[in-house]
This record gives sequence, structure tokens and C-alpha cells, in this order.
Amino acid sequence: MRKNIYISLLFVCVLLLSSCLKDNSEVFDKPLAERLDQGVENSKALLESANNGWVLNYYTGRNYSNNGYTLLFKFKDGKVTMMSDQAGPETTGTSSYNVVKDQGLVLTIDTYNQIIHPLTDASLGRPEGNQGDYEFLIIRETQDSIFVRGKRWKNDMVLTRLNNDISQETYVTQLSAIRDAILQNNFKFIAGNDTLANVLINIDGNRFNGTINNVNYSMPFSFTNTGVHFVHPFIINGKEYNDFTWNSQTSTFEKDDIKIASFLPDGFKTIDFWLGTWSVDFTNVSGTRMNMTLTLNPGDGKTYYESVLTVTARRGRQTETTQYKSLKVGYDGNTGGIYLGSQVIPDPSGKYAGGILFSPLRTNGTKLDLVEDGILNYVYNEELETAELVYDKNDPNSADSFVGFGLGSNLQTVIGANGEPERAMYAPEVVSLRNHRPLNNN
Amino acid sequence: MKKYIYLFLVVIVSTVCALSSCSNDDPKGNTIFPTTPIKRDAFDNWILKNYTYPYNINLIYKLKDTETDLTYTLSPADSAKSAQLAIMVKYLWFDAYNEVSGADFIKANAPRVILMVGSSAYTRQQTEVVGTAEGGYKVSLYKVNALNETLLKDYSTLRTYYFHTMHHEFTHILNQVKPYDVAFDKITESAYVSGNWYSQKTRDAHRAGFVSTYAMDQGREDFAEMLSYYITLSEAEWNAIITDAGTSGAALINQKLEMVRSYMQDSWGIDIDLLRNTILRRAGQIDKLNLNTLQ
Repeated sequence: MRKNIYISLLFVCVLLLSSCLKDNSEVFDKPLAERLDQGVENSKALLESANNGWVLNYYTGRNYSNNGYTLLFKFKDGKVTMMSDQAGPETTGTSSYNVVKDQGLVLTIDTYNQIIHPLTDASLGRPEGNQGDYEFLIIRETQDSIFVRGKRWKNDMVLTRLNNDISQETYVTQLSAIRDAILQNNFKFIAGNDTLANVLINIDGNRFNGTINNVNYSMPFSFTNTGVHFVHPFIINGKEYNDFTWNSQTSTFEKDDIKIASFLPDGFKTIDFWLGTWSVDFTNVSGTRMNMTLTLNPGDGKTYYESVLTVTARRGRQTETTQYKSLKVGYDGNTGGIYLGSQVIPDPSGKYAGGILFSPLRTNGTKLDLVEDGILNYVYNEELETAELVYDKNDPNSADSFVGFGLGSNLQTVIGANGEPERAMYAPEVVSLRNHRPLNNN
Repeated sequence: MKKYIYLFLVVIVSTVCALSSCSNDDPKGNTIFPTTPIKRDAFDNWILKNYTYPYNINLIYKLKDTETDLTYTLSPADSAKSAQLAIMVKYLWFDAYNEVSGADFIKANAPRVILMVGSSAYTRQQTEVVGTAEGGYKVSLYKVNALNETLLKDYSTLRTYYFHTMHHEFTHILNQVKPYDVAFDKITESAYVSGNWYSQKTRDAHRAGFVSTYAMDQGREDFAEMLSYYITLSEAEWNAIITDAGTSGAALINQKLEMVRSYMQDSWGIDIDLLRNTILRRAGQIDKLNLNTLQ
């Protein structure tokens, strides 16, 4: 009996003692909060250790869906000075910065900086702006590279230390020279001696579009002082290509055996070429002798022209001329051609209070086939010296004719006596624009 | 005897075990609360001297998204413009109340946090939010980056974007500490339209006995709009509302005004006409304010 008591008491003793055994084994040598604090200090020290600062290939839009930019930073004593490809080599922006503890370590540009925040600002009607980040989660740091992720829009990006042998101004100047050398969007993607595809490099948004070896690449890129960096690599024959060097002699981006070479597609014309008056070549079914001309005047110098459509009708000895003004004709920077889309223009005769609905559509025998968001595309043909209609019947928006429907004051088409909408003008099968006369030669 | 010794030994051992089973768990290691002083520049020190120490207010101009509504994409405030607005707010708001009711009144009742945000908050409904306040604790002032030298001398714009909101929200805080007489809510009880206030026309609001369309939301907003408009509008602007309201509308507004006046006098010892004169006097002098030097 006594033995049992002793044994039970001994047992209890052991239990009591083991209650103070530590069973929490620490993986790290310091508690989390302390490591975060240390992390903040280390990150700031690393950022400020670069005398010449850092370069960031910066991408906006969720999943890299929007534009690419190049940003440069110099961090010192809680303040950052920035430059960018957009702002150019003579502009800097200064603000404060911080590294804060928030979902991990976050680099934040926390007062307004005129270099980065215009890329992230929202506005009325665009509540997310460009989907650009100014706060960056720090994922991994090495001496020369800081891997970050945009906090809101989650794009992965890298800050690279800029070596002391080149100033930031020089970097941006060299970058700008490359950017300025790209005058149009069309490039051939060449591996060795084979042209694999025609691709588009659009420097308005720094975006690349092309299908190479059956893989579709639609992605942003950013300029460097020697060429470009594409956010995703091209994978050609098992090799990856991200960074290309610009060869200004040949207007080509090069990397090893891959060349992306600028070329002008057939009939490509710059925007100024199209200014002037063109005769509209259409099939006249009206029973009245009729001429139409289209006069293109300067618009914004980049994407459209302010235009006038002049219709001259001859009835016996009477000549009636009507000018339809405020017509906007677009310039296509990819084809170097022009296009006309659906729009409402004022009615010079005053008959239609709501104006005229200018509608590109298709002629089908004697009928009209309405086309939703119809577009008439014209590309210049050097040989024929005319601008030819580009019509693709498989493209649902492609049109070959246009009509102007009169709109009443309720902005609806006016139905005429025959039960059909009334037309102010009608041009079936506008196959070309010819007899180009420059603006001053009227 | 032997068995007593055994028993004694067992008791000793168990006591020792029991006592040592919880060994010391004193906190050890380094402190996680920062002990190195924060680096403050001239503006930060000025804020300490003019907002934090006298009124216990945290003026935040470096954007921390933990302080904002994350559904909005916001831009941080420009630090120079934040400083200019901070000087203006002190002059037109704090110092005005200080003159009329003393520093302790503000210290006890002002919002604890004033947050400056560079952009507006743009919604998907194509509207913009220019000022918000929460729980009597924080007032957010948006659109700071739109400030420029011209705007900073334009009392009417500053009032629309900033001061009207601050006075309005401050009224809510005062109401929460000392409620107003609920008879106020009955004056135009059937005319409150709740969320539909934004589709009302201003003239209709006046004629129904409200000083603004937002006042038609509910009684407490009505009260806050009454006070904040009365003390920030000039006499001419206030009379224009009264005239626009017509006879019956004006009578209702004046009835509400009397209740606001007696509330402020009886609960807080503040004469709203004196407060209004102080604010308007200061408003008349903002173009002489030096906004480019932190004093």
C-alpha cells in the first residue's frame, strides 16, 4: 500500500515537472516583430546604399494588361528623387518614401511625386486610373536586385541597382534616343534568317503584340538605355529572350540570333500624306449625276483628321453642292491608312434636327446590310496611286458603303413615306479614294 | 520513524516539483517598440507644435492605406500643399474656435486624426467624394493636390471642399457628446428623404425648410448642415437662402436655427453669431496669410 502511494506520488511529481518542459522550438533566432523591424532597417539601408540609384521596369494594369514604363529612383534620408522615360532627362520629382511593415515589408512613395503618381492617379470615370502601383511589397533582396510586387495590382517587377559609371540623366537621355528612333509600329520577328512573324511594337503604351510560332504574345515592355526589356520572354526553340539591344544603324532590336526589325508594310503612309482632297469612287444608283469628295484637314496630328464630305449633284442645269462638316476620319498607325467609323454629324440643310447618322455598312445587291460599328478602311496603293478599300467579309465590322440617315429631334431615324429611314446621302461600294489633291491646291 | 522520514521526503519533493513546474516566463529579448527617435523634418515638427501638443490631434499627410478606404484608388498628398492646407486649417478652424471657446474645448472635442489625401475618391458611379468623417474620430480631407495659390485665396472653394465638411463633422461629434433636443427632428419630419437626398433640387430643399439637399437625408444631418452653413456663409449668402425658401420655407429654417442657437449656447456656451463673425473675419483675411513659411 505504501509502495503504491510512493509510486503515485512519484508519478505526480514527474507530471508536475514535465509541465514546465519547453516544447516550443524556435525556427528563427529572433521573434517576428524584431525581425520585421530589422528588415525595415536593412531594406532602407540597401535602397540608400546605391549612390546612383535604381532602375525599375514598371508595369501597370492587372496581369500586365496596361502600359510599361521605366522609372528611376534615388533614395536618401527618407526622401526619394525620381526620373522616368515619360518625363524625360530634364525632369525629376522629389517626395518622401518609407519602408513600412504591412503584409510584409512594403516600399511606399507616400507623398505626391510628380514622376510616379500621374501614372497611378484615378479620375472621374476612371476610378482605378491606369491600375498603377506606388506601393511595392518587397519579396526578395540581393545586393543588386530587389524583387517587388505591386501591392494593389500585383505585378512582379525588379529594381536593379544602377552602376556608378552612368548618371541617371545620361541613362534617360540614351533611352529617349532609342524611343525617338521608333517612328512606326510594324516590325518583323526574325530568327536566324527566317522571318517568323509580323509583329506590332506600339510606343504609345509600350506594348508588344504578335503571334510567333503559334504562341500569342500580348505584353508590355519597357525601354532601357540600350534597348528594351519585355516582361515575359519570347521562347524560341527552347531558348528564352527578354532583353534586346537597339541597333540604330539597322533600326533593329537584337539579341543573339533574334532580330526584331522595323519595316514599312506596303502602302504605309505617314499621317501628313493623307491631308488634302480625295475623290470618292462609288457606284451611283441614285439616277442623278453626283460627285463626292472627301477633304482631310489636320486633327490632333496623331489619330484623326477633321474632315468635310462634299456632295455635288447635277439636276439638269442646276448644281447643288452640300458640305457635310465635322466628319472625323481616323488614322491607323499600324497600316498607315485611314478609316471612317459610325458618327453623328450636323445636317447643313437644317432638315434633320438631330443631325445625320453617318453609317458605314454593306451593300448586298440592291439592299443595305446594317453593320454594327461599321468601319471603312483604306490603304494606299503606290502602283495605282489610289487609296483602296480594305474589305474583309469575315470581319463583322468591315464595311464597303456608307449612308447618312436623317435623325429627328428625338435622335431617332426619320421614317419616310416608303416606310424606310430617310437618307441624306448614300454611297454604295466605295471601292477607292483617288485624285489626291494636297490641301493648298484647291 | 522511518515512514515519517519517507513521507517527509515525498512532501518535500512534491512541493519542489509543484513550485518549479511553472518556471519563470518573464518577457525577454529586445523590445519591439521602437526606441530610436523618428526623423522629423520642419513640417513634421511644425505639426507637433501646432496640432499635436496643443490639441492632441494627429495630422497625417503621408498616405498610409490602413487609414483609408481601400475600395478607392487614392494618391498621396503633395507635402508642400499639405503644409499650406495645414496652416489654413489652423487659421480658419482651430484658431477661430480657440478665440470663441478656448483651447480646452477643442482639445476635448476635435477629431483625433486629420488625414490629408492628394486625390478625390472616385467612385464607379462617376462621382467623387471630397471629405469624409468617421465616428467622431477622423476627418479625411481629399483633393489636396488640386490646391494652388489661387484656390488657397478663394474662401468659397476652400469652404466647399474642406471647411464645410470639418464644421459639419464637428457638429456630429458635439451632438454625440451632448445630444440635441429631438423636437428638432419633428419640425420637418415628413420631408426627410433619406438616401434620395442627392436627387433633390436645391431650390426645392430651401422651399421645404432645408438649408441644403443633404439636410433632407435625416434629422442629424439636417442639424449639422444648419450649423455648418450658418457659421461659414456670409450674411448675404445666408439671406439668399432665406429668400429663396419663400415664406413658409424661411419660417421652418428660422425655427430650426433657433434650436441650433440655443443648443450651442446652453450645452456648450458658444454664441454662434460670435463664432460666425470670427470665422468670417478670418476668412476675409486669408489672402494675407503667409502660406509659404512655417511659423
